[in-house]
Amino acid sequence: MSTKQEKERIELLQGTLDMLILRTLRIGPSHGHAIAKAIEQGSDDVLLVEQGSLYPALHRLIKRGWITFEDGTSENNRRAKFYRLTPLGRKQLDIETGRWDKMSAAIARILRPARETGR
Amino acid sequence: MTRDGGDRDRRGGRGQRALDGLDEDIRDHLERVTQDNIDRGMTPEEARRQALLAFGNVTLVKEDTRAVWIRIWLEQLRQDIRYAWRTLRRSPGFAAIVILTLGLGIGANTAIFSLMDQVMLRALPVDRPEELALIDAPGIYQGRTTGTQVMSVPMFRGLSAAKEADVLSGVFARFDVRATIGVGNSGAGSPGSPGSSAASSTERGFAELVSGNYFRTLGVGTALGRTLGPEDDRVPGAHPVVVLSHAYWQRRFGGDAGVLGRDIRINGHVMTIVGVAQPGFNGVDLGAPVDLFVPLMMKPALTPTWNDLDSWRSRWVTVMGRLAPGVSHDRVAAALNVRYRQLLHEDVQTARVTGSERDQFLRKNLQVMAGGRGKSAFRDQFATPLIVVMAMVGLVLIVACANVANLMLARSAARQKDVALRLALGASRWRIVRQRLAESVVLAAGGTVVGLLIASWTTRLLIQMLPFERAARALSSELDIRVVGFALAAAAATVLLFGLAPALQARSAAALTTALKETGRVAGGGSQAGFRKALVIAQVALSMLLLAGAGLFARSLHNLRGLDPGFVPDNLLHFSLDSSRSGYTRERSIALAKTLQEQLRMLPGVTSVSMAVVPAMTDRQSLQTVRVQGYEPAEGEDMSPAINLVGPDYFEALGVPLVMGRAFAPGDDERAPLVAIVNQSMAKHFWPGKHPIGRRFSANSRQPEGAVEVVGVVRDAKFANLRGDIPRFFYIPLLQAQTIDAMTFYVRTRPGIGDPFAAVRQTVQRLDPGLPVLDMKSMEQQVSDTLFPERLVALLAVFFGVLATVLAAIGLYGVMSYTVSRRTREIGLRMALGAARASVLWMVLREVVTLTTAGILLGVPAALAVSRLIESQLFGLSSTDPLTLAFAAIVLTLIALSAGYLPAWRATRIDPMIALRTE
Repeated sequence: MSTKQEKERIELLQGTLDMLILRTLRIGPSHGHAIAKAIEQGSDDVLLVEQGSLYPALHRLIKRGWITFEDGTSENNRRAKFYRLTPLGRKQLDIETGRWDKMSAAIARILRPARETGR
Repeated sequence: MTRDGGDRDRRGGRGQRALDGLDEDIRDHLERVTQDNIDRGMTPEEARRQALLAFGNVTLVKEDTRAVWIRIWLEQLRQDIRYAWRTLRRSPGFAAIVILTLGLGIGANTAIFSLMDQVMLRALPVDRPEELALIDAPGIYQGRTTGTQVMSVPMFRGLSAAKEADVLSGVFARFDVRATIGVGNSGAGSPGSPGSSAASSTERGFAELVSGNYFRTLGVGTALGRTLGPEDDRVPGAHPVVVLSHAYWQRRFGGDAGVLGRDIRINGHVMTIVGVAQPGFNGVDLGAPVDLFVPLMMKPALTPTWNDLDSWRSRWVTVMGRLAPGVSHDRVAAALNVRYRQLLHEDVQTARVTGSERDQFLRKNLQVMAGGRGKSAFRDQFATPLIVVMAMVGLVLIVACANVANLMLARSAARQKDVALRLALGASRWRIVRQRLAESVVLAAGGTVVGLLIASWTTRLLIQMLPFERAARALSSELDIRVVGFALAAAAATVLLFGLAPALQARSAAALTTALKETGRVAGGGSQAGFRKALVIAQVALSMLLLAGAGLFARSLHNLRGLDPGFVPDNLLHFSLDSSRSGYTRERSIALAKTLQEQLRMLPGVTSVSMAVVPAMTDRQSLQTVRVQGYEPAEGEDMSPAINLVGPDYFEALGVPLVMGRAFAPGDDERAPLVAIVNQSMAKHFWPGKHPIGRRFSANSRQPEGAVEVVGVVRDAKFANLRGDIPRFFYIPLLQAQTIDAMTFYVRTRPGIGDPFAAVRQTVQRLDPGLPVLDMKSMEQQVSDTLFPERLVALLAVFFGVLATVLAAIGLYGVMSYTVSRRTREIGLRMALGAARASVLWMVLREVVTLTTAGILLGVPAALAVSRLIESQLFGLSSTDPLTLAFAAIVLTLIALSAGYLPAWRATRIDPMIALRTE
């Protein structure tokens, strides 16, 4: 369902969604819709989150003990699940962020010279 | 924010909580996005469409989310089971004992359940059986009654005309009857013609006479041809058509489709086969499967000696109906009773009743009962024994579970270090509990497989033991889905019973981690030993219960066996001839009786021969209303003593002594004055304190007052069965009988020569090769057969009582061995300090005695309470019989002491030096 819209958008890599969710929750507990919105807006609408895929990802994180959830009521007085980072999740986020930085730097080093020679 | 997410939650529980409200979460999510879109200026429809588009496939998302949890759960389950399998393979002895114990328990329960299901629980294999109702007309009646819960045919016709009340969608009547069936050779040119009888065979079969809407009301179809309908039920004797039961068709015709249109002789009458009923349907009485269905209007052919199709004074058909949808039994009864009252006014006109009896007669009400399981005397006879046995095997299963739990605990004690190690390495406690449970599940699965094998085998054995050939035919030892389902449920219950305690113990022992630090001794062993002792006490208590039951049933059977029946069953052989159904008239039957008596008496070793119409010890009994000259019956007094028509020498042949007057002579025939012999009970009842010889009574409504003279009195004797009280009884000479339906012959031989079965059979066959010799048995066998339910219950009670006791003894042995091994050091120390061997022996045995006594003390009140429920099943002793209880207690104590002796003896062999050195 990744129909192209007005801007060019990039689909997320497998696993990166988990990292982005953890990052979003670092700011504070949030519910599903807000997380999706935060990711899209935070990336200046470049990253396309197929919003449905958020839910299996959230449950995967709960299962691993990286996030937890609480039943609460949202601003419009409706029951909603609020997801929150656990200490374990915070540690994991640090690991993932470090790994990501290393990896993107490495990829960038490879890609940039290649692109210059290509031109 | 109200509830805490809970890191403490276990994995499984947390998954469930996370998944709760997933639908709601997603719906909420979509609504928010829609709202955002609207805020951006989209129309509501467009906003919703875009929201769905951005979300993706909702169903798929839900599935993926659930899969996150399921996959891990399944994966762990697989791991647990594989782990359990590996550990169990390392101790095959333990696994084998547990699986066998559980297999015995589950197997016994499944076997009894299978019979119980077939006899008591299962509905008839008809369309919507829950709508069927049995209609009974109880209360005062005058006339002849054949069977129980029956009506006269005119009454049935009147009631079936009343269904305009639209409470019933159909009503039918049926009657079960024996038949002599002759099947000609398939190639016979003119089937049924007298000449072809040599080329065919006759056999005894069972037919159900059915009214026209029997098949339609039941919703039973055919495998072949057509069923019987109202068009087959119009004119008496004019519808010579039959439908075969599927089982009979298979058995007799090998499922040949060519039987349609073929002729078959029933009691010598030619009838045409028009159909085969649907498989599995054998009539509405499960204990009496039928071979043929015959139109009710063909009754004269099926019962040559009586018709009664139009008589109000003869009740013999079972009436059943199908309730209209949504109608209750009460409403049907209310609606039918209106019509019933009108019919009773017609009914009472032919009844000879007094004024007050007439009022009672007209005030009778119909009863409407659930009929989905049909009607069965067999079920009534076996329901209580089956429930009793089911309760017994249930207790045995509990004892078996206690035993297995005991073994598992002993094993887990040995594995505590292993568990502690794994906890230390980071395994969650819940995971360890689950692994224990997985082990139990694997064991229970093994037990179920073994149990199903044992069940199938046991069921077959029990069915083969049944002395009731006809009922046995209706039972199957096949394991159907219900039975397998029961076995699985029983297995699940056993997992809870034996698996949970050890599993929870693994969890609750928080002190387990200390086990690592202790080297040899096991932490938590004390509380564990306590729990195991509690299990042993429970086992002893349950065994006490079962042994007490076994004792009660065995002694009750012994009492029945030792009972003086009033006649001599040894050296007495009997057989039946269905003469009227083989075309014999009364005169020919009498001639046959005379000739057979002469010829059989000439056989070597035979001392006397006689015959009677009603066979002894078959639970059958024929009652006849009498009017006694000079006797004024009290209001509502039962004036129908039992009657039998007997040949000359009957009392001599059966060994019933004559106490007064004379026996029947060959001269007491239809030309001589009517005479009767009565038993002591009848003499005492009607002529108390007076000389009964020469008194007069009349034995049916056609006879003038006082037509029959009492010429003799015989001693009271049991007749229908051993259990029942001896009724008032009178005998009429066979030669003075107006009709002869069938005859049972009695042949008494000199002791020590054995029963001359073959010679007797040959004699009968020489006289008439076409006359089947039925039910030839020794009287001892026949008496024993009437005791079959009692024998079965006693046998099973003793078997299961002993089994439970052996299991309890094994449990006791295990616990005592464990205790002794834990106390090795202490015992060694005592011995080093000078304790005598005898005192060490006594120290251990004292504990055995304590455990056993505690169990017995718990078991006795339980036995007293429970045995009250089986009071009605006992004979000649009270359910609280102190002797039986004492006996059970002594047996238990002796077995317990012998089980405890080995560990105790081993304790005395402990070498103090070695014991003190071991850690």
